Amino acid sequence: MDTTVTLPIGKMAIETEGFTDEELMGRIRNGDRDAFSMLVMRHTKKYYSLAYRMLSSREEAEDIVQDAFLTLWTSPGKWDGGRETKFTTWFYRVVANACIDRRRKQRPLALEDGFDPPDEGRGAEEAVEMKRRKDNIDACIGELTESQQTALALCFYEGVSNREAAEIMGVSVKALESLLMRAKASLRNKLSEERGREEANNGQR
Amino acid sequence: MDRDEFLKCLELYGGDLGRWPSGLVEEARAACEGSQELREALDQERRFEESLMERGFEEPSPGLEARILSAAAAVKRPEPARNSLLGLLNAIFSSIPLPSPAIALPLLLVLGMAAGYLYANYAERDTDNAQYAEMLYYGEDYYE
Repeated sequence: MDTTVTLPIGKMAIETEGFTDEELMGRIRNGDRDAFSMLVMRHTKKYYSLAYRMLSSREEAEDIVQDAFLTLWTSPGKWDGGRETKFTTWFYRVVANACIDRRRKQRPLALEDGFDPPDEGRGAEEAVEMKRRKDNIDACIGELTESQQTALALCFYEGVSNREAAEIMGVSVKALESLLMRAKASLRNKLSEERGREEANNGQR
Repeated sequence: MDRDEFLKCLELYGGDLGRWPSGLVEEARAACEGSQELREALDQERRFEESLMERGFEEPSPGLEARILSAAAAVKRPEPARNSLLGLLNAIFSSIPLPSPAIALPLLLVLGMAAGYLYANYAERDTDNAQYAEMLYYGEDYYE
């Protein structure tokens, strides 16, 4: 079975099998570009997905992932392979923290956009209705606490196990589970309120 | 699995029973088969999750990986310091994926040997100094 992948930079083809992330990190510390390329090819989509779930913006999610990988390349010593159990867990934490920082900087704008979703979807085409629902869910999720949003992005949208998500967030499994339960309960309430409002409006027409 | 336990797990692990911890799946299925209430709760959770999935997802740009690699190629990366002893040690050990304790042990051994060697020299010199002082003090009597 062919296990090589041609990378877009440097015209190199390296074995995809045989190197763990941790071994690649050891090589990256010594300036091995092939190892860095391998890591980027292997994980970019996964970390983009988390960043997108936390920021709801393709451009910003791409920026976050690019910055995180560049920091990894310029300062690989930030990852302490001896203490951290897995590279992926540590890098999830890096990306999640970067997203939280980015959101904090944009908070006033996000509130303005998120709290009053445009009312353009009523009775309009299906695509408009879909967008309105999407905006509404984004707004509801945006009202959760930062920790609840991170827990939801990791466990529900990314399918990370509760135990790994707890490790990424630096909390106990019990605390993580409590965050998840509160996040879902809160979302359920908000969405059912919204549905109630929608039905009332439809009834008035 | 009783009703309360099922509902708690439903909240924690979601409406897809395949994603529950493997030890709980069979019990959950059995509990569901025996209870209309739990089946409805499961359906409700699935509908809730479907509504959360309406949030949508945009795939990344096709060239994202290439963009990252190009940006990395343009960045000047600090070279690992190989000139100093510390840099050399770092270069050697970082290329071998050893856990910290494995590095710490030989390092402690080397430090211990170095300290022992230095102390031995000092001790020898102290003994010489003491003998010399006694010799000065007692003068000719010292050799008697």
